[in-house]
Amino acid sequence: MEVQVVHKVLKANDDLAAMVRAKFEEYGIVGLNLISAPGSGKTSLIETTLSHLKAEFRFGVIEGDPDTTRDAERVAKFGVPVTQINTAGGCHLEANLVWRTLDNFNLHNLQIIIIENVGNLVCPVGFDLGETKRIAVVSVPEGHDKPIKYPKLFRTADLTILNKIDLLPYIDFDEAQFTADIKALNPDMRIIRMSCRTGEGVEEWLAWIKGLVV
Amino acid sequence: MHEYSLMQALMDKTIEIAAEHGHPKVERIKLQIGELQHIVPDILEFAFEVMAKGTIAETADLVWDVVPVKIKCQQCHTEFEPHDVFWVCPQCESSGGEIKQGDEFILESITFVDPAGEL
Repeated sequence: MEVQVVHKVLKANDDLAAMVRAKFEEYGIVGLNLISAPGSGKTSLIETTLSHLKAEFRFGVIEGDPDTTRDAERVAKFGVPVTQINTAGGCHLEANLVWRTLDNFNLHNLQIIIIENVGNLVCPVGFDLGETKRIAVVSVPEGHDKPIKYPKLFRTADLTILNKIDLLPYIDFDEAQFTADIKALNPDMRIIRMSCRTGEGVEEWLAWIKGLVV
Repeated sequence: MHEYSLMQALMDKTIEIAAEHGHPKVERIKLQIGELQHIVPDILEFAFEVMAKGTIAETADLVWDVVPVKIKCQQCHTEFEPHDVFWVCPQCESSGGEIKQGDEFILESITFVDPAGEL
């Protein structure tokens, strides 16, 4: 006997993501989902952000990693509430993990929650976390072909950060091609060029975040 | 690796539906998988094998139809099946657009073993 079902398999995740999104809206919180390959500088980006803006805005951070609490320890030094999610080898965060984590925060007291996804350009893209904005982070040493090789991230992200631009003189990175490919995938995509090391582009990034907070 | 998460969600739903209908054994699970899901068939099948073990779906067949990508051009609204990663519209040659199909991962149907056939 065949039973017709027609069920979206990720509906459970989508429903939880909608709950996270509603919670963010209820408390007026901006949720940022950072997606990148491992080593692109997501945690450094968070550190840079907190060092400039923690006096002005109230942040919370959710760190996703397969193992260790290293990133959470780095972020905790800034005196902001941080929760580490260890996925026990899992390659991406899902909405249920974020939803459960929200209990660890005093949401009344927060304006921005930064979610650092597990470093991976494929799997995190398929799972809505309820974020307000999705941010793709690519660093120069990864090569200019990342957008065309991982198009789904760049089709769904709201912003791309090209990080570690201080390394451009040393690496064969075709920035014109990188930009052209992103614009072809997503004509409305804004790209911020930055280096957490030299501080170049940081002001533009901070201004972008400030513009999101009501 | 997202195949494992999808498979876990699929198994949960399958067992839930079997319980609702009072069926003890699954014969076949049929899916619709969009090309944009970037599913590796071998990984999906292996995930099924691992996760179905010891469940009512242990001996079931997993089958699926691949759903091709269909894009609606954001400029001229032509619907087309893209031939490259940039989704260039064959009418107006602009790129990008709205996904009309090809991003789904849908449990279409479950076939349960007919208790009479078991005899």
